[in-house]
Amino acid sequence: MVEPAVEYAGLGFAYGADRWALRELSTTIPAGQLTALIGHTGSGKSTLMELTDGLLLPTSGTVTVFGQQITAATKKKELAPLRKKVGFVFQFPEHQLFADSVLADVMFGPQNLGANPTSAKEAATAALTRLGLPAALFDRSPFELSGGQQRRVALAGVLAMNPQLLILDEPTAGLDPTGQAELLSLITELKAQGLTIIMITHQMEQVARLADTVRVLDGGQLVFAGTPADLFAQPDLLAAHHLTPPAAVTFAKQLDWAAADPQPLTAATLAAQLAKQLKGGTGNG
Amino acid sequence: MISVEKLTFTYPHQEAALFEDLSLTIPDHQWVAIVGRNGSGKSTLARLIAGLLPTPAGTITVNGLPVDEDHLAALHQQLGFVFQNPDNQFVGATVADDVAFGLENRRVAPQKMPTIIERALAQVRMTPFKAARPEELSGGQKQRVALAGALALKPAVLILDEATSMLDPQGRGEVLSQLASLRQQGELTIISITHDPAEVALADQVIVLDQGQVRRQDSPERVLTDVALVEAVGLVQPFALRLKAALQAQGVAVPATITTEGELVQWLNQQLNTRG
Ligand SMILES: Nc1ncnc2c1ncn2[C@@H]1O[C@H](COP(=O)(O)OP(=O)(O)OP(=O)(O)O)[C@@H](O)[C@H]1O
Ligand SMILES: Nc1ncnc2c1ncn2[C@@H]1O[C@H](COP(=O)(O)OP(=O)(O)OP(=O)(O)O)[C@@H](O)[C@H]1O
Ligand SMILES: [Mg+2]
Ligand SMILES: [Mg+2]
Repeated sequence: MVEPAVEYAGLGFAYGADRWALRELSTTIPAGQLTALIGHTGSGKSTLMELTDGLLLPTSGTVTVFGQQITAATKKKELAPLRKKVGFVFQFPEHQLFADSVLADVMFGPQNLGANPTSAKEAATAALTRLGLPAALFDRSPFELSGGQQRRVALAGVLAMNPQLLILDEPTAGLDPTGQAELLSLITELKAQGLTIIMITHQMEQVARLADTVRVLDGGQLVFAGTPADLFAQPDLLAAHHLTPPAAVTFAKQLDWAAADPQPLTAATLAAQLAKQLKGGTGNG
Repeated sequence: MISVEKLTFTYPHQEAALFEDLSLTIPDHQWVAIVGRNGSGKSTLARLIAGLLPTPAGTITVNGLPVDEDHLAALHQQLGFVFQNPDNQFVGATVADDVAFGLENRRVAPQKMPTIIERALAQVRMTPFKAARPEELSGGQKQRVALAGALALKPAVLILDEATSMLDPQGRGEVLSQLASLRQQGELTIISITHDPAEVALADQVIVLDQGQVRRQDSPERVLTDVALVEAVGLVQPFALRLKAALQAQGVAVPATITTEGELVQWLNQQLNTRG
């Protein structure tokens, strides 16, 4: 088995006395795969990612990222090498933006990692273009942009740094549908290039389509680790943790047919199975 | 009614106008969804209607009130606004204070406030966080509190700028059904800016903005089934319509007249039963 990119062992985190946001959490994030991190509002997803990026330190237990162990005793300066490998796009992109212009904002990362201005500018321009931000906006203050445009700049800023582990906290929130579709295909491409990706999302369609593996949090505890197909085959588990299945599952339940195996999770796979039954006459293939 | 007439607006330091001679009407007591690409002008339009930007005099009226300096206080008595980023919303030191602040501005009697605050927070399941500071909340918790604050005001016009974008599916469903029932009771005009097809489908009307212009104002059914429009402005269709398109692509001849989930389920079941 390949080394996991991240390993959590007995991890606990409290925001101040007795305000535990995570408890006794142990699991791994496989390298080179896309892990979806899901759970209802306040379940601890963003907190777990802040611990993974070293923005927060564990209260108890450990986080190990690419072999580097982080504990309550880890010093801030020991985290510098980690920051070069981990890119984190925050839930609220505004929290990430700071420079006077869009271009300067995105160039900051590569320059900070030692790139000269020319190559930093190249990396920034490429990333912004990849995220569909019109060049006319490059010189504008990032604070004079629309919400979706700011999200694109924040994503570009992290991508321009070429991280090995990419953490995306609800990356499609605020993007228009075209932007969402483009981002999802970009994520697929990055994974094909070998990146490890952790994506927090409330959209079960995205989990069904993109995730190799899923981790579910509830009340700061890990309550599921496995594949999307496994997760969505357990309606009781979903209901117990206030989750809903993808629309394809809910839709298929209303049909008079023997549930197909594997259960279709997307519009495309559901359509393919229905077409087969309607044309073939019988059987689930 | 909200009426926008010949509105021209340019942001400071910008050369090009975002809106030029924009006109539209939002009827009373309806739920109107505003959709369009990133940067098409949705949030700006909402802020201009709410008088949160220097709205050019004589261009916008809300329930008969002109949106200008002289009428700003009166206008704000009528409006509830949930911003795209809830961090821009909070003024109170705690969650409860934050809801109270809006009520104080409305001159709600102090003895009535605790009950209103309790109810508003319970509606969004945030009662346990009453004493928390806004910066101690998760993203979805912030959105819930922002919604509670706006709903507590019982505004005549409620403007929601992507107010459910970070809610979990259950929370989003709850908020949308609360809005649907408020609208059912009448008296409330809802303007919701959204990229969520399920939210669009619930509205009475959809305004499609495209580069600062109204490309279409029509019912959700007609907007969402207009394939050319959907493609041109990059909308996403509800699941049933996406499934229908996928079935057609697989050679299943779903009749064009089928546009809702119920109709598609019924038609598919007929087909499945006659084949079986
Ligand atoms: N700075 C803080 N101080 C105190 N408590 C906090 C702080 N940040 C988060 N919390 C609490 O910790 C819990 C987990 O929050 P977290 O932001 O990790 O949730 P989340 O799963 O990302 O939720 P969402 O989907 O709403 O973004 C929540 O109950 C939240 O109120
Ligand atoms: N403060 C500002 N100064 C200058 N230009 C701005 C400012 N705010 C927004 N803009 C520009 O005005 C246009 C419309 O922005 P607006 O925020 O209204 O878009 P939107 O439709 O809400 O987009 P989104 O879906 O991304 O939130 C965009 O091109 C944006 O860059
Ligand atoms: Mg979060
Ligand atoms: Mg906006």
